[in-house]
Amino acid sequence: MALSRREFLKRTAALTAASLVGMNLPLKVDRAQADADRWVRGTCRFCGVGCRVELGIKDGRPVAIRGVPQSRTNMGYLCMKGMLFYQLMRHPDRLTKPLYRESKKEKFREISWEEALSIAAKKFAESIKNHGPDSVAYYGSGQALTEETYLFQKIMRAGLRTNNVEGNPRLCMASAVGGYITSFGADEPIGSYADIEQAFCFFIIGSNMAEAHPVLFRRVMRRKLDNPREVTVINADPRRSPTSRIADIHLQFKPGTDLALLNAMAYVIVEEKLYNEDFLNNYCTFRVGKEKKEVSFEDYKKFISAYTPEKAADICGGNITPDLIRKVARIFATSPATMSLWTMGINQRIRGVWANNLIHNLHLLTGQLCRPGADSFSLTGQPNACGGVREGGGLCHILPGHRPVKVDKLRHEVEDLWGVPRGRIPAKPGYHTIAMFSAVNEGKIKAIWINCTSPAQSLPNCDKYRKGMAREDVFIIVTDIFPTKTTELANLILPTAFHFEKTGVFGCTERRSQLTVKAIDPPGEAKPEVWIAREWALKLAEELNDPVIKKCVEPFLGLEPGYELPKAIWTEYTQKLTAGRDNDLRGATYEVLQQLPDGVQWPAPTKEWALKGGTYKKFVRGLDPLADEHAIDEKPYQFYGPAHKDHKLWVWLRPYKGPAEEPDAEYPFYLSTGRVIDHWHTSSMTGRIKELMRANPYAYIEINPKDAQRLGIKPGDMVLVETRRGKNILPAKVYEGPMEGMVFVYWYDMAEDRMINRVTKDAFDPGSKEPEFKICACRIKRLSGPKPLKPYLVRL
Amino acid sequence: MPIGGFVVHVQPEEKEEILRELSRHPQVEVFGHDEKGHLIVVLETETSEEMEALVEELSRLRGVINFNLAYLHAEDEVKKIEAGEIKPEIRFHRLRPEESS
Amino acid sequence: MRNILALMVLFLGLFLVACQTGKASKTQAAAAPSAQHPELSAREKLIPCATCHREVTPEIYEEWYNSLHGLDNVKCFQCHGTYENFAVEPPIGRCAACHAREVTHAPKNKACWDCHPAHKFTVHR
Repeated sequence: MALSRREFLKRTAALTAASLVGMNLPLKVDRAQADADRWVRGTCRFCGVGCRVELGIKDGRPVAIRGVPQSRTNMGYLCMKGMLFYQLMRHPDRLTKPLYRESKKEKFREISWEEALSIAAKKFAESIKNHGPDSVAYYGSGQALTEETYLFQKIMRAGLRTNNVEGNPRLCMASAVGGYITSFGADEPIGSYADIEQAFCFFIIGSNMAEAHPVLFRRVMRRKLDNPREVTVINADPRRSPTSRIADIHLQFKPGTDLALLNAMAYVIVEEKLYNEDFLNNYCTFRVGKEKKEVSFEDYKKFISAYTPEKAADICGGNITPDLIRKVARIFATSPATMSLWTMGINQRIRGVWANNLIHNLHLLTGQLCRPGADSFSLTGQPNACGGVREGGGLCHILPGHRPVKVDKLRHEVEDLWGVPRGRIPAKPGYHTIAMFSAVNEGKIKAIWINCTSPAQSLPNCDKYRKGMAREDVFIIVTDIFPTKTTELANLILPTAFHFEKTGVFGCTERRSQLTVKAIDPPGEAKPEVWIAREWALKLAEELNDPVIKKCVEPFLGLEPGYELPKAIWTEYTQKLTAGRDNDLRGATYEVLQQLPDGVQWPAPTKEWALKGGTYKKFVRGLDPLADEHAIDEKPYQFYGPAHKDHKLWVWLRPYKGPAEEPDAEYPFYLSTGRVIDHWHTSSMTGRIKELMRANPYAYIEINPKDAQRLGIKPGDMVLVETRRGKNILPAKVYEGPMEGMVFVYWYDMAEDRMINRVTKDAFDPGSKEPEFKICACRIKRLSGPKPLKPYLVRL
Repeated sequence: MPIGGFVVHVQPEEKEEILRELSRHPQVEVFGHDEKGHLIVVLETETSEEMEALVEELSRLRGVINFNLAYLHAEDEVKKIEAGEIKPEIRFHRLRPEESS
Repeated sequence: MRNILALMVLFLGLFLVACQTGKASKTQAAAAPSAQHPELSAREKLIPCATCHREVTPEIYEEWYNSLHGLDNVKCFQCHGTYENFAVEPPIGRCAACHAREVTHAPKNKACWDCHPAHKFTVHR
């Protein structure tokens, strides 16, 4: 850092003076926050909030990250993960060369990209030739850029002719998708983050926003603190979490009983006539069962009459009383604007779609929708589950632009847009995630490409699926930036470019697509995924002698992979595949995205609309261009969602259903799992940042103080956790967090002893296919006093 | 321009107010302070006279006990005096006939 | 006026003498980093800051915990760094990560906490 002479003299003067009184001056230049030469704008790599950040580069090295104050998502704020992830860009553990081993018993050896891509193509081709297209699969991620997911799924579907395209959002957001589609007819929230500043009641259920969406929590916290009397925060969670600190009312119920609670709240709303008759008459119908039979409001009232607050309180236990249910229902209904927020507590459930429906029901009954501050707002966990996977066609049953694959008309539409012969894309959906990895276990899938995720650690009951992945006759390709529990089971590891080392779009929770531009080159020979996919497709076309595979990547040939290639992919996706769809993004070109401090909320069919930021509130005439376009009458709200031909919102009659595995005599505790603020998912990234690793070096089991006392467990003691599927040994954290009879474990830890998904249950929602990570039965026992523990990261 | 490093000793309870007051002066930069009431202040002015005047003014602030010079760099000013750009009141030589004005 | 300047020069002379010893400590002051965290073993370094500081500096912990930073989980290391880059008084760049706008508009000769006392960081108006 070059000081001007004047500055130097001033410092000398100051230091001299300071030394006379023995004062230390903070004049040391800190290398971590040294002034950068330039700042490059992008989105944070982590959660679904979509904070806008700037990466500071000095002398070609990434040195700092700061928030973008003008961004409508984070308003300049960051959490500690967003603040520090620049450290991953030149981390010594980064994968920098393709690695290969023929047998999983061997060690990896470095090979060239040419060889690696050839092997990848040959193995997939072999499998297809010998066992058919459905013997191969792609398992992607809600952290992959939209361009990456889109290109991979195009190659898989139109090129290799399989719908075995899945992604880890199946494990987190599938129930929310199911809920939105069945209740509103269209995926993703109606409103935006901006509703937070207009809300008067927050119903936070099954979410620990303070740790999982910290920068969004900041906005809720601010709204509450600025209006302490006018704003009510209701937190519904079997566990007291850092989010509960701002709650006026904390509802603590036994895990899995929330469907009773939600139905009972609806009961109160109906009984005390707190419903919005106009809204119901104008915009809603009532539906029941698989056949989606339409019934009347009277039928609904009869159905809900069984869910009295007394009955619900009985089922829920905890601190739930009939009066409390009534109180909460009244606040919800009568508040000037109520916003519900939820994540995994509601989604990762055996009836996650129903749980989502029941929350939506409360908003439909009370008309708490479409107005500023009133919304049924599902929080998305990953940065690009919405943009890449839900919108870009990254699940086995949907094509880009929210098109169900089994609808012939829409499937052919996509084939035409891609310029491939009709019939290329199979008519039936592929394997969903649990089915996919079960198929791996059974030897039905012979080659699988796992991109930017670590199912060996993140699947429920993971030991069962690791066995399958360890099979010698399953060829596993993993694209990632660091070694993980999944690369341990791979044959071919391909090093990829990290965030800011490549260009691409992330679409966050509030339907906002935001662009991150490449700022530096990836280390070593790491490459952006879009280049890898394109080159692989070219080799596949040769191996299978199939020119249609080449057609899939033809528009992208010869383009520079750092910016031009993703730009071309984004252009095809938005201009062709989202045109006329409910997630119309034609206005959100790269140029437009780069002009905004944040990004564009769809629908944004035109550039003019996109430059304003896009659509804040869907379905409202005047605020949503598609509402005007698809209006069927003069009403102010137009529910044109593609799944509801009747243009109505559906109130679902859903019965109570508890968890798949409840505690019993043998396994008397509820086991629940979740995240902490310092670590992201499997900690392959955050575990490599010193500050974050030290903040949370290993997973703990949280035990309620009363249970701990009863079982003689003191803080730090080693505890054995057993379920029907396996055992873990974890240090105890005695904490007034989980309710009595419940324990809570953080799932980020890679150490075998502490990897909690080894014991969770892989039961899944029959509708959304999302597993019930949040609830299973376990027993715990004190093993010993505290033991010295070491944090663990997979190394090659 | 003279650059002077000062140790300013203030009454601890007045420190906040004094810091606020000092921040209003563009020639004043506070580099550090502690709970005992020591402030490390650097003054930068056009001339020594100006610095003198500023020091006088600031020492009269309520709560200021001492305003002590610790380091003075006046090289620029000396150059200017030799070049004839500045005519200081105090002279280092007897007035030459042509300088008396 | 003359006298005052003369006195200043005298003072200067005296201080320059003092500064000879001062110079040695000045070199020290320039080389010595701002206060180091007490030496800890590798295992102890794995304990989150707050866990120890709850006992060791309870008033600071309470102040932080009840502040907006505490409520929003802005943890110690975000401002103070970790052992290898520790700073009792953080470089302002760390504040700028979240408060970029404020840092650009704030007076340059003040540290943020001159007006917004750590660790409450209440705003004074």
